Amino acid sequence: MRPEPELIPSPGIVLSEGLETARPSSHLGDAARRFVRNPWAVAGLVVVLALVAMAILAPELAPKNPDFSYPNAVNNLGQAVGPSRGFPLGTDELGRDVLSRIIWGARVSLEVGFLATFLAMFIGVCLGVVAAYFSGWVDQVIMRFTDIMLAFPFLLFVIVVVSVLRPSVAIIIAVIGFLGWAPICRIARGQALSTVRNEYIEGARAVGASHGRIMFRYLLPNMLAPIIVYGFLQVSVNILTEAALAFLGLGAPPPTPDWGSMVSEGQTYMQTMPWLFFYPGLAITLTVVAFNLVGDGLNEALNPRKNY
Amino acid sequence: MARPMRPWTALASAAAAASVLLAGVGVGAAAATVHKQSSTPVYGGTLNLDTQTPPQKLDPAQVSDVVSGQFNYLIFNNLVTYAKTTAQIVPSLATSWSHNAAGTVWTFNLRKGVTFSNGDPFTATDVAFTLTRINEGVTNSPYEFSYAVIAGSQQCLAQTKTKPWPATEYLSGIKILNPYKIQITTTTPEQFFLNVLALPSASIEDASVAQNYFAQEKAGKQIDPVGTGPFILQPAAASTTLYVFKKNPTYWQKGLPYLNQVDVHIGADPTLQYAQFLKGQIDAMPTFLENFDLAPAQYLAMLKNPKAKADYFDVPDIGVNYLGFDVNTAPWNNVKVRQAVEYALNKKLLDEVLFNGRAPVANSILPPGMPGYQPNLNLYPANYATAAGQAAAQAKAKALLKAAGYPNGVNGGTFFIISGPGDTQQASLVKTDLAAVGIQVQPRIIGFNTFLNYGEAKPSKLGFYSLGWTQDYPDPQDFLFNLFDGLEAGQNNFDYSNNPQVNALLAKADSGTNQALRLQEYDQVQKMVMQMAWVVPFAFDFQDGLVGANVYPKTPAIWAHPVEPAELQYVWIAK
Repeated sequence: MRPEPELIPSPGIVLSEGLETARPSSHLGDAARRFVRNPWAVAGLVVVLALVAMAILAPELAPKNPDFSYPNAVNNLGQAVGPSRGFPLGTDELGRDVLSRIIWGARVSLEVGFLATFLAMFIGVCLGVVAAYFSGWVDQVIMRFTDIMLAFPFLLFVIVVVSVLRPSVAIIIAVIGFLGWAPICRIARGQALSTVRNEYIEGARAVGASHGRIMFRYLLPNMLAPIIVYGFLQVSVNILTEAALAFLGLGAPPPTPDWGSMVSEGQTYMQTMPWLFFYPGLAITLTVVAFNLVGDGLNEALNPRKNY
Repeated sequence: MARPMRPWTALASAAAAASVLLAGVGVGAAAATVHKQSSTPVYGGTLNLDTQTPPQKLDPAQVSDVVSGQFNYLIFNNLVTYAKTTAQIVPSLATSWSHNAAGTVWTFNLRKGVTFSNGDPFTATDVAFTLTRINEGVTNSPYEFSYAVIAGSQQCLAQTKTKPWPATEYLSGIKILNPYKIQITTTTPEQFFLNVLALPSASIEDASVAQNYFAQEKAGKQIDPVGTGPFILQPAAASTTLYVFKKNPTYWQKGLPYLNQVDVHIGADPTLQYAQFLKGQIDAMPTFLENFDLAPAQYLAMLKNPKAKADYFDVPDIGVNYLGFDVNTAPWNNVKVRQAVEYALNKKLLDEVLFNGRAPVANSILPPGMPGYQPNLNLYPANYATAAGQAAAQAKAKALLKAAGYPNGVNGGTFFIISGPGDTQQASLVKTDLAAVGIQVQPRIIGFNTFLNYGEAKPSKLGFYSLGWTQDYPDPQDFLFNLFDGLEAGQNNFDYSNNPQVNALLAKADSGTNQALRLQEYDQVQKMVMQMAWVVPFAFDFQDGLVGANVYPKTPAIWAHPVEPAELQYVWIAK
C-alpha cells in the first residue's frame, strides 16, 4: 500500500497529535451544535442575554426612578414597605423601589464584569503571546513579572488600591484589569507555545511576514477557544469581586444602584426588612451561575472530551 | 464638642416632646420605661463595654472626641463637676468657692487628703500647672480659647510658641494662696466660667507627671494619664483593642466606685454590639461612651424583641446635626446658594431614615433644652410631607439658584461625610435632594481624623460637609462661639465664617453679666447665622441605648447625662 502523501501544513491546522487544541474554524458549526445540545449551557446563555438586555434597556424596563425616595414608602419610624402592590420587591430604607434598583444595578455589575475582564484579557493575551513568540530573555522577563503578580493576594491587593484611590466604576475596572491579567497571561503563553514551534511559523518568517502579522494571524486564532472560555468564567469572578468591593463600601459611589452595596446596606436590616439583602443577593448569585454555565458549556463545546 | 452626625434619635412622639418641656436641662424620666430598681449597690464585678472607634487622645488638653472624653472622665477630676443627674455645678476637687462683686476674681478652697493614682498628693500646684499648660502655645489645645479669659493667658500663649514654660511658672492670673487655696483672676467677668472649669480639658493633672507630656507627645509617645478619678487606666498591653480600667482604691468619694473593673473593647460596629448585648457579652450598648445611639436597623429590631425593649432607654440630647459650608469658596460663598440647600433638603425623610424619626427636625442652631432655644425660628419653611409642598420648596430653591447666577444648576464639589452608621444613606439622600434642584455634589465618606485634618488644612479642604455638635455646657456660647466666631476658624468653626458684627455680638454676650441681655444677644446671633445660612441644620439630637438587665442604676441620666459622659462610678452589677 502506498503511503499517504504528507499533507502540506496550512495556517490554522495543527498536526500535533494528542494535544487538545482548538479545532480549525470549519469546526465552529460542530461546536455550536454541541453547545445547543447542552441544556444547562443554553439556560445560562438565555439568562446572560436577558441580563445584558436588562442592563441596556434599564431606563425603559425599570418601573420607577431608582434614586427617587417615595414619600410614605418609609413610615415615621423608618420602616420601609415590603413587597406589595406598587413595589413588587419592596422599597429600601430610603423609600426607593428595590426592583428598579436591581434592574439598574445590572449595569454596574455587567460593565465591571465585561470591561475589567476585557482589559485583563487584553493585557494578559498580548504579554503571553509576545512571551511565547520571542522567547529568550523577553519570555523570562515577562514570566517573572507574571509570577510576581500571581504571588499577590488578588482581592486584598484590589481592596488596598481601590481604597487609596477614590472608588468609582472606572477605577474598579482599571484596578481589576491591571491587577488580574497574570493567570490569562500564563494560559495564553502556554497555548501560543504549542503553536509557535511549528515549521510553518518559521516559514512565514522566512517569507517576510512581520512579527505582528504572525502573532495576530497565526498564533491568536488557535488560542481563541480557551481564551473565550476563560473569559466567560472570569466575567463571573469579576462580578463577584465588584460585589465584594461594594459590600466593603468601595464600590460605585452612592446613590448608584449596585447589587453589592445593596446587600451591604441591607444586611444590617436583616431582622426587619429581609427583602433588602435577599433580592440583590439572589441577583448576584443568578448572574454568576449563568456566566459559569455558559463558560462550562463553551468549554465542553470547543474542547469535547474524546471518548477513546 | 464636635462629633460626626448622630444617626439615631430618641422616640419621636409625645414622649420626647414631654421630656423637652420638663425643665430644659433636667432629664426626662417620664420618657424612659419603668424598671425595677435594685435598692442596694453591690460591690465588685467587671463592666464590659464596646466602642467602634478607639480614643484619639488621652492628654486632657487634647481631648476633643467623645470616646477620649469618656476615658478622661473616668481617670480625672475637675475643680467642679455636674450633679449626678442634672446640669447643676457641684463641688469636686474644689470644696467651695467665692468671687468678688465684679465677678473677675475667683477663690477656690481645695479638697484635702486627695491623692493621684500614683500616690502624689493633690495640691494647688497641680491646679495652677494644669490651667497654665492648657494656655501654652506648644500644647496647641483645641479648647485653648475657652481659657483665654484667665488673666495672663495671651501673654503665655505668645511666649510659649516653641517651648513650654518651666513647670513652676504660672499665668499671671493664677495665684497659689496656700496648698489648698487658689485664686484665679479673669480679664472680664464670665457667667459660665465654672462650666469651663468643668470641661475635660480642665481636668486636673499631676504636675510632676504632666510636665513631661509635651516632650512625650513631641516624640510621638503615648502619655501616661495620671489623675484623681474613680478608675485607673491600666498600662496598654500589646493589644490596642482592649482598654482596662481598674478601681482606684484611694478614690476620695467615699464608697465609690462600686465596680472593680471596666473593660472597653475596641472595634465592634453597632450591628455586632447589638448581637453581643443580646448574648450578654457586653453590659450596655451602644456604648454611651461613644455617644452613638441604636442604629435604625437595631432600633427597628429592638422594637420587635420584648427582652431588648425592656432594656431600652432614650432621652433627648442637647445637640444639633447640620450641613456646613466653607463660606469663602465658590459656589458656597453665595448666600443664595446656601439658602437653596435649605429649601432643597427633605429634612423629614432624612430624619425618618437616619433617626427613625427619633430626633426633632431642626431649623435653628440651639437645641431644645438649651437656654435660648427658639422653637418658632424657621426662616425657610418647606413642607415635604405632601407632593405639592415638595414641589413648592424645590421651586423656591431653583429660583434662588437662578438669582445667584446658576440658572442651569451648579457643581458643588465634594460632600464630605464622616464614616459611621447611616453614612451611605445620608450621602444618597443629600445628593439626590440637591440634584433635584440642580446642585451636583459628589459624596465622599472619610474617617473622623481625616475629616479634622481636612478642616484644619489651610486652605480648608472641606467645601461642603456634614457634622454635628453636642453641648459641652448649658450655655448658648458653647454652640454659637465655637461654631461661628472668627477666632474659632479652623478649630471648631469649619465654616471659616468671620463676620465682624457677629464676632462683636458674641464678644459682648460672652462677657456680659445680665443673663436676659445675653440671651437677647445670642438670639440675634442665631438669627443672623440662619439668615446667612452659614449652616443648614436638619435634626436635633437624642441619646438612647440598652442597659443590661442586671446592671444598675436604671436612671437614664447616669448613662446619658445632659453634659457628662456615662457616670460609671455610680454603676453596679447586681448578682
